[in-house]
Amino acid sequence: MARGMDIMSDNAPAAMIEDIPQAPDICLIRLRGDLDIRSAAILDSCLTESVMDGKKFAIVDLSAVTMIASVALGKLLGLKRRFSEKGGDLVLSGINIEIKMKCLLMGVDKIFKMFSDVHSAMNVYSWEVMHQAESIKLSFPPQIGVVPAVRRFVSGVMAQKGYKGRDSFRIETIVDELCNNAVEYGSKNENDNISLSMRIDWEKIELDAENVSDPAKREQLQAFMSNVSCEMPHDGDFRRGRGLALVKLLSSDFSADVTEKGTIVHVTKIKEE
Amino acid sequence: MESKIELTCEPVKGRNDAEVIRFAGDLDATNVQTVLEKVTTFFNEGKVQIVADFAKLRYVNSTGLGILLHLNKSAKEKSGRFKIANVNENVFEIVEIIGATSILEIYDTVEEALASLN
Repeated sequence: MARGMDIMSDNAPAAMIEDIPQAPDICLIRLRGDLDIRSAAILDSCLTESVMDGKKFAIVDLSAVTMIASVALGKLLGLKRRFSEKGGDLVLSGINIEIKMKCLLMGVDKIFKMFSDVHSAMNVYSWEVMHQAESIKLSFPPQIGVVPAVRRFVSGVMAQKGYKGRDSFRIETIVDELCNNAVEYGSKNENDNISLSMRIDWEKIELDAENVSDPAKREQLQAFMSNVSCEMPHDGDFRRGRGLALVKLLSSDFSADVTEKGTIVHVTKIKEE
Repeated sequence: MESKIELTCEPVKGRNDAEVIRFAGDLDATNVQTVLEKVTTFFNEGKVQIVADFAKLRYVNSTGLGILLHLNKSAKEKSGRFKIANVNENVFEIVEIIGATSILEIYDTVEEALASLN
């Protein structure tokens, strides 16, 4: 539901307040035009307690704002305090480069969280406040040269989701070993992509690595899967990898299914730090 | 595309059979062959006492670890040693989980590793 307030002489609403059905405790405030002394004063009187009632969080979208005076920023700061008193927050989104520079000069970036758009702000809210899980799926060709980029991407995502230090390193290792294994034992046909699906929440990550079989290596892989071990080789050839054994030891849960069509390895890793 | 790894080498003062090799980057399946070839070159030149400084080595996977074990074995076959120093705690954990701590010679510092050379 959107409610507009007309505070401009051309009758175009300068502030639109929207409810977000999937997030009932968020108030989305879209501002437009110049936020000067006059509009800032009117803005303050319009955003009353009755409007904010039941809302703990606010996203103020400035993507249609052309200029923002210091007094307007001050009003937003006052609003932020009101939301903070309720245990929530007010964040800014859609700031253009000029306004961003002004905010940086005034140190406003140290006070307000800023997002490129409303969607980004909602994503962070979903993760940090609602603790909703996120799903990511990667698909890439069966080439060893691609694997480092995949593991570094996953490592970056995990760090963003609060999986730091050792947890992030272990997950990077798990992803690396699963992908290397898929390349080594799977189809080399460039159209037979390897797929890596991840479901990340605050407590754990679940990974599924899936690839098309190489018929010539399927039996070898099945034998290998049934005897995954870190045991040092008696023949002294240390070059054979112990990747899957490492994945098993690092994971909270591990299972593998090798069929005629392909291989699926499922791993769960619980956050430890 | 290979993961980036850089090896810089320093002769050891007073010894013509030893070298310190400083690793920087990630050691994985994409660059193990490069590392193997470079260290083997030293072995072939008679530099069989190698101290590998891992202070800037961020990441090693099982394939990388396999090469380190192979280099360790190769050095011993030539009456030399392949010693490792300054391993970060993440890499050390992987080495430990794989069970390689009883095979690889790991030291806290390059100086300690050098002091232990024959």
